[in-house]
Amino acid sequence: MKPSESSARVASSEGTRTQAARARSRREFLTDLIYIAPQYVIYIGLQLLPFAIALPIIFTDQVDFLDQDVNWVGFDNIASLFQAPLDDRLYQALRRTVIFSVVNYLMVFLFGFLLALAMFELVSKLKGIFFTIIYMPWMLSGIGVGLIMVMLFSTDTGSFNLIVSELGADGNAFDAKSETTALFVLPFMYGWKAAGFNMALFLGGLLAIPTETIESARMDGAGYWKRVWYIYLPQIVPSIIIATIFSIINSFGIFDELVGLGALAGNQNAEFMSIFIYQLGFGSATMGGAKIGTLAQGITASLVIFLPLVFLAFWLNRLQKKMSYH
Amino acid sequence: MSQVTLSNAVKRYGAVEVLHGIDLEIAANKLTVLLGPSGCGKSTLLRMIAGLEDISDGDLRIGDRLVNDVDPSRRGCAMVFQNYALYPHQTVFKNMAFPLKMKGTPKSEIELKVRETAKVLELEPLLDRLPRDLSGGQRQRVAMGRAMIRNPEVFLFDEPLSNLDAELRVKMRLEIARLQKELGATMIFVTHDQVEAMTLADQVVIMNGGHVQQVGAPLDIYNHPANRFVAGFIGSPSMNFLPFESVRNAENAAVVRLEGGLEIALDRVVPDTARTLGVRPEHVSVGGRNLTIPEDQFTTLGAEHLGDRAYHYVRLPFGDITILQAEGQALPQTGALSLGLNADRVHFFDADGLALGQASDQTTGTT
Amino acid sequence: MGKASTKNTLLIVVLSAYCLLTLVPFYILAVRAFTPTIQSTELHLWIPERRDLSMNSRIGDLSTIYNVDARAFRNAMEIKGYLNPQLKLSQIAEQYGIEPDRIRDYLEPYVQYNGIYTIVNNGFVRSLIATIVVTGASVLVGALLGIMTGSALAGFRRRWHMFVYNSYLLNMIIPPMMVILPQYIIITRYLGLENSLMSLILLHIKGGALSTMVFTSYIATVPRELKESVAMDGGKHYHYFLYILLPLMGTPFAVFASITMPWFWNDLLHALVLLRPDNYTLPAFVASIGGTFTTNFEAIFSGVLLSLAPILVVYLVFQKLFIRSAMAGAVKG
Ligand SMILES: Nc1ncnc2c1ncn2[C@@H]1O[C@H](COP(=O)(O)OP(=O)(O)OP(=O)(O)O)[C@@H](O)[C@H]1O
Ligand SMILES: [Mg+2]
Repeated sequence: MKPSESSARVASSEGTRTQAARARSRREFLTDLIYIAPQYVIYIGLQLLPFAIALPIIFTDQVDFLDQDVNWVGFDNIASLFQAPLDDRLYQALRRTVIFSVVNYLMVFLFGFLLALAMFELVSKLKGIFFTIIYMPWMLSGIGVGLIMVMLFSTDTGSFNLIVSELGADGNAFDAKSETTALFVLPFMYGWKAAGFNMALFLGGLLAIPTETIESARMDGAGYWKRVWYIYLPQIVPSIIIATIFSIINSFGIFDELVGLGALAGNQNAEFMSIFIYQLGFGSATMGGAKIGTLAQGITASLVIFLPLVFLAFWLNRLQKKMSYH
Repeated sequence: MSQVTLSNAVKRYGAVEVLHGIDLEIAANKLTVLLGPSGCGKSTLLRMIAGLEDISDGDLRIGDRLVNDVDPSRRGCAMVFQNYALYPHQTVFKNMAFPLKMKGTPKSEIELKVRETAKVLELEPLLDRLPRDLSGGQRQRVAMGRAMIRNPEVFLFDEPLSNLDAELRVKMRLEIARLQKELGATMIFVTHDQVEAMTLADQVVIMNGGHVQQVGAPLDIYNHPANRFVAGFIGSPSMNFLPFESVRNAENAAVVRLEGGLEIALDRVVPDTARTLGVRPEHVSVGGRNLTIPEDQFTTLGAEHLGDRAYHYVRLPFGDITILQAEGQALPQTGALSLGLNADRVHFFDADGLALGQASDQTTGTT
Repeated sequence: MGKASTKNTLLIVVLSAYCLLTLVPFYILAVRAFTPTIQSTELHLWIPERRDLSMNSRIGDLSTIYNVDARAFRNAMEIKGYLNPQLKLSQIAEQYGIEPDRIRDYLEPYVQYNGIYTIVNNGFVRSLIATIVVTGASVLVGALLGIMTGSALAGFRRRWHMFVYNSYLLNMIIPPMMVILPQYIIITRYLGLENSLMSLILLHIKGGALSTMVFTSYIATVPRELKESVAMDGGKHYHYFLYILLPLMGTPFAVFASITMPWFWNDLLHALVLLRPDNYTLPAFVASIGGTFTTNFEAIFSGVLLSLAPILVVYLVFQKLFIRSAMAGAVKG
């Protein structure tokens, strides 16, 4: 083959080469797309698009989903949340939500972490049975938990109250519809429900700790609780962060349990942020509740309250990724 | 009848060029081994032939067909992967039947062919088992069966024996050689184990750093390495390299002055451009008169005893050399160390590491 | 040695006590689901004996206590016109010439199994079926879509794959309450899926942190040689997907199913917002029972118990899988 011939051939095959490569990578891209798109389209449409739709609405006076006469009102909605008549309910709902969230966060450790520690130290065949039972309440619906609280703590009919009075106390120990119950008993029940879930989370972290570090701390004479504090806790920080994210999101979004406690049926003491938002948005549209504001106000409230949370969770998530590389 | 021809084949990953213009002819119906150190691009080359990687530049032909852009399944190649890539949830039978099923072969014919192939590979009793219930060697055979069943023109193996223990490796090596003879197919076999290469290959391709270093029959490569890399890579322990300062050639003789001042007298002519002398441990003998090292210029570093023979390591001013001795023969404890070099088996390399005319060529040339 | 075994015994005692306490609410629920509402001011630790239906009860009282539908009763007894709620059953029998046994047969179940009878009469079975359909479809389709996504994303061959993956993780930190209002707008107005189970399924299968993480990370452990091998054998990507990948997805599917099933089964918010009572799934049904029959505790607790029972059975049958998944999810974090 002469040089000129060969260079001509190379040139022409080079042209087809890049074409073919491009065709192949286009085909690969299409295949990827076919497999990714079905879920992603739904995801975009129902998870990310809602933000895009929600944002303009918060600057309007749209009353409900059927409202045709929509006007531009600027920042009035945000302002109105902090003015009569809504401000009082908003503050009350926010106060309850915050107190509940703090108590609920403590329960994550009271139940989840302590149980995880116990299971971590336990050497026994009973482990599986324990796990099965502890995880069992996780199958219960939120509304079920709320109604079980009604069952246990209602005045005069609550089984728990009846047991206590059988034991000699007079009157009712609890009132299912009271604010104290919503703020302090509910987190306890929630902790009970999520005990298995949080335990699994922490147990996963504990099992990942290299046993050498525990053993060497023992050799150094660290007592049990010292080891927990200095060896266990620092090494399960990623699990703690995850549990924290879940706890914050779940606490602020708690809804089902409150419905069980009658929040949509007039129990003002169970009106937390999510109920407040729901009442604004759907109020009269569905069962139970009463219309207390406009749809636009509902969306505004949800963004005002939850957007900071999203950023907090996002930051925690970043933190978790960083910590887990240790 | 399918040789594989690469001309100026280049592989780039983004900006990184991994194969730099490979020109290679892989003989039809022979077993060719691609040999080279880890990371030199053997797998990449093989996968390019298979069609699993694009060719960034250059041409690839199988037989007379330009297959650069041909789909992997249409190239007539079958591949046996290092981890075998058996489908873990399918029985041996189904694994072997899969390629035929993809081709749309009728059921009865599939049954027939699978049984036939299983017979050749002695897999018949195992057809209903899952891969996890097979030993390493059996899995290996299933992988080969799955490749064979398509009657490919070219078999590609990527380190297929590296997951087996030493004994099984020898056995499977023989089996592959036998199959190659029986099927008369073109086989390309990647390994970094030179014993495997030497025992198995009709043709060895030595690669390094994305270049082909030398192509040839195993013994040719051993006896006539094309450059310093090949010379050092093939043979274990490695060839001794002695860098030198100058050469004085005479009629059929030469004196080579090594760095540090020692001199080697050889009964042959040394090419003028040579800068390094290479000699394998087995071609150095104690008690010869080519090189005499005064007592204060060397230290013995120790020896590796292999039973019938031993390798002795000696430190010289300009580097270390290895000497092969029969077991029981020790190096002299006192006095100078005098060594003999087998003149016909001495190699010379120029400043770029290229081998210069072989000893045998030289002698025939001058007499 | 002694110290270690003392510690272990102590742990067993403490954990056993906790487990017993955990079971107490379930036990009380089971008892209260069969305790007549009228006796709910008394403490019952065991299902009480039922009193037989007395022919001296007034039909009006039966309506209030046992949620007997007076109109349905009139129709069944072929009584025309107004029925005085003050009438006793024996008087009704006399006045309208009805066999007392016929009245008794009709009303007996209301009295004997009031809770169950009430919820079954008010649409429990329909809700159960709706919930099974929604949960089943959500788990299966959700897994399929998740596997498809994972099969493309695994290994992150392209930069935009990472982007898609991260955008799914974002889902973990968006509270459902925050987007439910606009989601409602999109589903009803743009998709026209008002009061349709499909809308619930869509919200469940839209993908999220869990399915993406579980399937992508598991598929990344499948050797790529399997895919290449299929390509060499002339298979297309869908052959690889159908014949090789799907059959290997048992483990991640178990993880996905056992974590999401309780979520889907118990999803109240979306059901309440997107469905109307005739299509309610169980949680919404239970909520509506709680709203409608506020005074009939027996019915409410029966509703809670019966809607818990199916998933509890599934849990107990597959408990090993559930626990392993919980741990696997935890380790991945
Ligand atoms: N996808 C890729 N992107 C960038 N570089 C790659 C890629 N795949 C391989 N390489 C590089 O190409 C070179 C050759 O790799 P290859 O796998 O062919 O080596 P090898 O000779 O088979 O080695 P080994 O004996 O270890 O298998 C290596 O340096 C490797 O780092
Ligand atoms: Mg390789």
